Amino acid sequence: MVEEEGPFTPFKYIYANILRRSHMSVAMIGLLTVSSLLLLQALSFSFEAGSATRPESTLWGETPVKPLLEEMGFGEEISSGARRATLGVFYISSAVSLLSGYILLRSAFTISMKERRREVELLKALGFSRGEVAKLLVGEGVVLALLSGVLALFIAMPLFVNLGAYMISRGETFYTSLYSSSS
Amino acid sequence: MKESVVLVEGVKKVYGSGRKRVEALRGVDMEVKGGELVAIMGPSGAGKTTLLNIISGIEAPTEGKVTVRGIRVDSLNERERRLFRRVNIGYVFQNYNLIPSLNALENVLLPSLFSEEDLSERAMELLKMVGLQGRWDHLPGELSGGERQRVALARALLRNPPLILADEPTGNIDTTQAGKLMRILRRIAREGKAIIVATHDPVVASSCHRVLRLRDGKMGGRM
Ligand SMILES: Nc1ncnc2c1ncn2[C@@H]1O[C@H](COP(=O)(O)OP(=O)(O)OP(=O)(O)O)[C@@H](O)[C@H]1O
Ligand SMILES: [Mg+2]
Repeated sequence: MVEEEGPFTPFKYIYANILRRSHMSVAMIGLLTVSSLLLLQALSFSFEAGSATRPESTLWGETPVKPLLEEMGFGEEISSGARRATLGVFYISSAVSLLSGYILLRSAFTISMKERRREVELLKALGFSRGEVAKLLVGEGVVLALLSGVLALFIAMPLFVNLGAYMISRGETFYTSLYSSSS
Repeated sequence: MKESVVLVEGVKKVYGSGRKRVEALRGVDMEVKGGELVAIMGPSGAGKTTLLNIISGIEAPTEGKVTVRGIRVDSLNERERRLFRRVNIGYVFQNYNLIPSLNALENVLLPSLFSEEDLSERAMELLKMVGLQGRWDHLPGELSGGERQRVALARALLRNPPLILADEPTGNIDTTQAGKLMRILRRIAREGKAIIVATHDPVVASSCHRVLRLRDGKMGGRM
């Protein structure tokens, strides 16, 4: 819990808000984690799309995507037009994932802002500047985002193991594979 | 002669325009000196909160002069008003006073948040003064309405401001609790501070040194 020693600092304020409003914090972390996972999924889709012409190396291992592609007849010798169409589909689904993540995040922030408008009003009435109030809110957001990022990484760990193996198998770095998958 | 802490001259406040135009204050004059405990009494909508907000610089008057300890509050810009408020005003608000996730001590320490100063000892003394020394680590949700108002009062006193504004401080609390709060306010006034209490409760008003009546944005008149 918050120590009673020393001055009351913005750090303690943020700490108290996160700990004692745990329902709100848990909700925020949940939303941020889901959003991060959606982002990772979108990224991995674009990798997978890039490897669609080379069925032996995929990002997820056995995912529904590869058999689906083979069933559709996209094997080794697919035409560049069909390949581009496939890529298009995956980019659209990635974009949808990103967009829904963004919308989730925005609504989460709006809800928490509404709940806390009174808190902001009180701080301003007590003589705090906009900048100081923003520091408290942004500080809390940063802490929650970091926690969520770590959580998302743990959930996505298997994916990253695959990612490493995938990139080694292609002899590529993250950036070159991004480049080649979009070319 | 005691020095004048608050001087309000011809203050008017208009909200909105056209059909939504509200004249909340229509020319208010008043003066409060150090050591005085003054009640502003009036029915709901009389303009009590508006007047306290203008004296504290939270809002600017549409017309008129407000002088607090020689400072013309109405001619300050927003930043200056904010700094003025930090030093000169302790405000007990009508509604939302305490941050629910902070305990009593932290709520009292709130005004010192961005200063390096460690005022926790003073905050503990103030909590003791309002009779809550044993409750410093309780959250607002674990305190009664009267206790919460006393925490808010302790916070208003943290920086030792010369002027205390209390808006309906006994609004939702019973007479015993209200009596306790008023006793504390009288004690603080005796130490030389100027205190203005907005209330519609005649019992609260009668325990102040002086009662100013506000009705439809104007001072005086019968009640
Ligand atoms: N921000 C605002 N915008 C428009 N009108 C307002 C605003 N604030 C107050 N008013 C109006 O000004 C008048 C005075 O309001 P004020 O809050 O000062 O009354 P009050 O005496 O504090 O009442 P109460 O005892 O109910 O708290 C009311 O008619 C109110 O509707
Ligand atoms: Mg009011």
